[in-house]
Amino acid sequence: MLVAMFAHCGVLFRDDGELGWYARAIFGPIFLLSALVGLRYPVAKSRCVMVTLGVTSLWLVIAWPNFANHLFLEWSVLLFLTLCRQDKKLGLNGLRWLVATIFFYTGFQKFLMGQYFEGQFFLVRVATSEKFRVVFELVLPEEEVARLVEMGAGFGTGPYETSSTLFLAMSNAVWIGEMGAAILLLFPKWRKLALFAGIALVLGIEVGARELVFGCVFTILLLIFYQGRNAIALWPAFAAVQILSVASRLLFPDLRFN
Amino acid sequence: MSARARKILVGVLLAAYFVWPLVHHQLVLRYRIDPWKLAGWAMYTTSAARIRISLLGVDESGRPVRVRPRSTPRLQTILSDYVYRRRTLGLFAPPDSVVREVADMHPDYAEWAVTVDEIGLNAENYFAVIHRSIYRYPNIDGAPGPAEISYPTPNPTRADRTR
Repeated sequence: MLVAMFAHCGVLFRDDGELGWYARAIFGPIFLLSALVGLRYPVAKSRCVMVTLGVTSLWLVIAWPNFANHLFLEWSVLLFLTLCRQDKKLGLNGLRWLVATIFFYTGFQKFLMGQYFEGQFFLVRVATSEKFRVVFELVLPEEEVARLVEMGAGFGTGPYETSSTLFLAMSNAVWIGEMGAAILLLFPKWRKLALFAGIALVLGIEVGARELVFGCVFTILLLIFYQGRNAIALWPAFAAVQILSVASRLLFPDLRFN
Repeated sequence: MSARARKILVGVLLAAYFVWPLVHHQLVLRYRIDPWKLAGWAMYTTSAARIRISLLGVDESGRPVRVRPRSTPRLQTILSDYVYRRRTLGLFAPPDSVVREVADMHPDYAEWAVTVDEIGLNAENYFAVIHRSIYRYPNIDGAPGPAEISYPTPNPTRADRTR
């Protein structure tokens, strides 16, 4: 989480607004220092987490009410880590319930809003976003992609519907998968399957959304359901991906990773 | 903090994390807050709604007069800030700052009105006005009085229909 916060903050370094200034002058240096000290000296780790929680709280207040949900997720994890620093078992159980709850609701909210049943949400994305278009044009008929691009989500355009059964299956698999995996994660018998499905879903979503920092954080959070040696060995790899994502954002802003 | 107190606190927090998305969903439907914001975990659930604002004044003869949003750079800035806030906070963000600026520009109007349209996918999967709020501010001694608000929603979404 210490590295994740620095990586997330790095997304703001190029921002010209107030938050960009805070990120460059305050958040970034403190997060970096916390991460370096926390990772180098295990005895200081819990204090570094507390400092990072404090700075993240300040970030939330400054960004209010427009803070990203990703930031709130990171703040919540830091809060649980701080509260449970003397009781690792409670911390692990608390974080597992938190992650499962959030994962469940990401699917449940999609179900409630009803824009995945006929693929409307992704069709609008195809119409407006190059990132999503390159993925979904593989399964959508060429003339439908052309029609969507022409409509461009302008006022009065529609209907945002498709004849592609595969596209509809993919669209509905997202919310069903999120809800299903979240529930199965809570049952030890099904945990490995749910973990595999959950990580596959996050990876699938990231192909279109390209939110690398979030993708890494959520994958790491899912991995707390499986505390094998292999999972722990993956943490430095995710940290490296996060740092690289910040570097790519700074060096190649057109890639539009965040 | 004792172990028992810590356990209770973690339990209460988890309960809050479980309940909040349900409250958030109702706030989205009833108060038009942004589903992508305010920790409801509902990012990527709907196409981000767009906000369109129309400004109107009523002159001394009772004739409605349209006020151009780009009349002055200051009004443009105030509008742009308001749209950003409105998109997140929905009906919790009335357009008072906008009306104060319009009232400063046209203090002689008998009434000022702001129409806020939320544009998104309707139940038939077309982009349309999915929520409309009309705020009417009477001129009381040259300043806007308390707003009278109406919500003639023209195109419900699928989620609105299941509310």
